[in-house]
Amino acid sequence: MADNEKNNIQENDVNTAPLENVTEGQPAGVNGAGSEYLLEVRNMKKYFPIKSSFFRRVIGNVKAVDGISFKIKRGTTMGLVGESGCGKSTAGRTILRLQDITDGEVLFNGVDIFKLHKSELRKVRPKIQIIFQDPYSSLSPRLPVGEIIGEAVREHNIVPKEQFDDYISMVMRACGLQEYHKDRYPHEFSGGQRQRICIARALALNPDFIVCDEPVSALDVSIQAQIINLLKQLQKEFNLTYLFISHDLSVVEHISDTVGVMYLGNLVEYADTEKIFANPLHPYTKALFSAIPVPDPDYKMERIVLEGSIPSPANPPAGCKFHTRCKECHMICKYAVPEYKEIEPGHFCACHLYNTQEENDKYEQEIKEAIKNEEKNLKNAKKIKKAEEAAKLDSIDNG
Amino acid sequence: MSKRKKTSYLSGSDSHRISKENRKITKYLETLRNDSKRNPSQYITKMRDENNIVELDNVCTYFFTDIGVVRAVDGVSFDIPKCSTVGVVGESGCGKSVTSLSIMQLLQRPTGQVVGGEIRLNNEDGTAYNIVNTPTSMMQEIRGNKISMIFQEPMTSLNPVFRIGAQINEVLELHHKEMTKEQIHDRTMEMLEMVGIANAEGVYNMYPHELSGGMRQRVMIAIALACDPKLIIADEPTTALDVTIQAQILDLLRNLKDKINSSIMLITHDLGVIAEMADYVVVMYAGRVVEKGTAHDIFHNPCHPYTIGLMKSKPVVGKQVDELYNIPGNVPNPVNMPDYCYFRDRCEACDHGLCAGKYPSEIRISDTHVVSCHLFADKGEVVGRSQIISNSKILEDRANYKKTRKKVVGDETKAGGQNKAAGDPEVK
Ligand SMILES: Nc1ncnc2c1ncn2[C@@H]1O[C@H](COP(=O)(O)OP(=O)(O)OP(=O)(O)O)[C@@H](O)[C@H]1O
Ligand SMILES: Nc1ncnc2c1ncn2[C@@H]1O[C@H](COP(=O)(O)OP(=O)(O)O)[C@@H](O)[C@H]1O
Ligand code: SF4
Ligand code: SF4
Ligand SMILES: [Mg+2]
Ligand SMILES: [Mg+2]
Repeated sequence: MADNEKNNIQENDVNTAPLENVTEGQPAGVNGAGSEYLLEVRNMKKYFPIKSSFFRRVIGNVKAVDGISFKIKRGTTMGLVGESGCGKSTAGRTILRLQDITDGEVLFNGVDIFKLHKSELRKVRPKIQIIFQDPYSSLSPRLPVGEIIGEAVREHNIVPKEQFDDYISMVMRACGLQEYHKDRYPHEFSGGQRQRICIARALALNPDFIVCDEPVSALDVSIQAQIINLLKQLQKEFNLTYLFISHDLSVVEHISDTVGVMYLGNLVEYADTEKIFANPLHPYTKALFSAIPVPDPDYKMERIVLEGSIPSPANPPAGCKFHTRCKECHMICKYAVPEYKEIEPGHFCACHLYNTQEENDKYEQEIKEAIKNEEKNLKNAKKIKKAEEAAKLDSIDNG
Repeated sequence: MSKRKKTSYLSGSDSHRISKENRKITKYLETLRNDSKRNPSQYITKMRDENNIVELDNVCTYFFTDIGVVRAVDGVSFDIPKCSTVGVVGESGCGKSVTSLSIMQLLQRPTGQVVGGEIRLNNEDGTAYNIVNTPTSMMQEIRGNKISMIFQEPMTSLNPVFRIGAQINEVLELHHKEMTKEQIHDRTMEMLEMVGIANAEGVYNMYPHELSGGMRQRVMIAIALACDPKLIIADEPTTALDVTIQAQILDLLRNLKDKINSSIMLITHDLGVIAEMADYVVVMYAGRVVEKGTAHDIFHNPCHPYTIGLMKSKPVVGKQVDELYNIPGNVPNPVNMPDYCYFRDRCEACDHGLCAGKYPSEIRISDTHVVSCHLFADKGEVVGRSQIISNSKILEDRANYKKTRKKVVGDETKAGGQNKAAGDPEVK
């Protein structure tokens, strides 16, 4: 098995070599294993160590991403939603190898990008791009727009020198910018235009895959619509694959083919967009969707209001991480971690409500034992406490 | 390059002229504001309708900046009825925040000035304050006691070095001088519990940075409610928050409003939030109200092309469309507004014959529904006309003011022989 995998990687390594001549108009999908999935994430974990303030010793971990797996088909968009701090951006940044991975694999075109050497990584880098939420801070204020877009193009030799200018103009036009914008500076542009510049910068490297981390959250409704339309149109034109991170569910529904819902570092549900919106299975997804405000004053919503806020990822609740806020929480949820599994074809979910009878029996058996142990411990603790109190009383009496 | 500079930037003499004129105007307006001996008749008026808590009547708030006059709010009129929620929507920069700051008299002065119109605040004894002319000292009492405000970013409005409890106590102390320390503490705890903070005793002793965004916003709401205001202005209160937390905060606001019998002016750019919360909706564009009515009017019968465009450009869950509608073009330059309909260059319903004329008047198309668009010119009666207040008009007022001042001061000098200054030294 291990051997097999190794072979695979070597084969793929060879296949990634032609990445450099991408401008030849090679259709995406020629590289790599030729599978229909461009990106596959297997059990990805990203922990941030918490250090003690005195000895800089590691005293715990923020489990920002705690084992997620998904695949994205070529030319499609996967939406990633969840509350602030649940690990969406961390997942996005780890996929780009902007930071180390704690555990797991990220297969791009069948190749684990964390196993690539520096020189190989350099070749893959332009293929995977990211667009950030804040179009203000992500552009260097001292460079003219043409240079911002062209810098990396030159560095990666995307086009021959003599075609450089035409190429940049073409990319800018594709993103709805004018050619004369080239020698202006970012502060002269509105928020929507700056986001176009960010998109142009990513697109100029001829990527296959773009992580869009809240690309429209900072923009006005009418500008949002422009940017979303642009992203969709570019996807069609260049066969791009997106991971679209957002907390605006109506935008995600509009742009995504599949949707993954994260809670405290885990994927709790994943399915085709239509399926998940029509029939959300996980109680968290249901609550999240019911919180979307509907622009119709007559609409009577049955809102599931979640109490409290998301627990700290440094110290997540035991069992199902959502059990502290779940209306349907039952006994097993507090002890056993629900398995993330396919409940209907293509519809994944991690919740004990969808266990089979046998699974439930199994969990209950385990829990009974756990509870017995706990009770024993509790009794012991009580005994000890009583003894201590008695001793205290004694000492007071004596005193 | 040089060509572009000439067209889009100001020449040195131009900018010099502008800043000189600005200084003249703002100095004059500041003198009016700081006039502490102002006659109450100048700021005590009557409400048009006693059922309103606040009435805005043709309010004009301008910023006198170095590049010219920014007419951020230009002839805005709407009412906030008692015990109801009024939603204000529009793109960023359309003047939503400036409208609310005008009501609070919290504009960045001296650049920002309310130069015209009336903002009437119901005193609930048959009289009303005209906030535009109310002296600053009196305004301090009104803020917090009658009107309070919740801002978008709670972290910037909480003081990071004081504990939560102390910050709420301070507000109470300021407005209830008769309360003892203990009473204030109890009231603070009560407020924290009222806004749904479970661990009130704990939060009382915490610093702002120890709280989550949603908790901070709850604390801000507690502070805003501390003195039972009659009007709560919430400027994008949930924009910085998650959907789930947003739902909690909106729930809270809705329940509290009924509990303490106050009105809410809710500013947001999210039409979903407006639909859920508001009884009345005001749609603003480029400093003017383009449409207003009940939530029902606006959502089921939107009339102004801009309102329709806004609705179409927002994706709605469950309604699949291939491409989102987007309103073409950009908001016009606020320093140099055209004299025709501000939306004309972006409007797809524009009728070139009709819309070539002046900025459209406000037309009442039903009891509750008002639109300003030429397409509705024959669908109802004209209820309002927006008029720009030009610099020359203000300078004219200033000249008149100086004349009367001189006369008054002159009379005083004759009578008492005490006043040495002839004319107001501040108005030069
Ligand atoms: N460099 C870091 N060091 C320590 N902790 C981090 C670091 N980056 C992120 N975290 C933590 O990891 C968790 C997930 O963060 P992440 O930025 O991925 O959230 P998110 O889902 O993108 O949230 P948002 O919607 O607010 O952008 C958070 O608890 C955050 O505090
Ligand atoms: N302090 C200021 N100085 C100059 N112009 C200002 C100032 N504050 C706001 N403006 C201008 O007033 C207009 C309305 O702003 P604002 O009310 O903040 O918009 P929004 O509707 O997004 O709340 C904008 O054109 C803005 O640039
Ligand atoms: S496993 Fe239990 S606690 Fe977790 S989401 Fe399902 S029902 Fe709720
Ligand atoms: S007045 Fe004319 S240009 Fe203006 S919004 Fe109405 S139809 Fe459009
Ligand atoms: Mg993020
Ligand atoms: Mg604002």
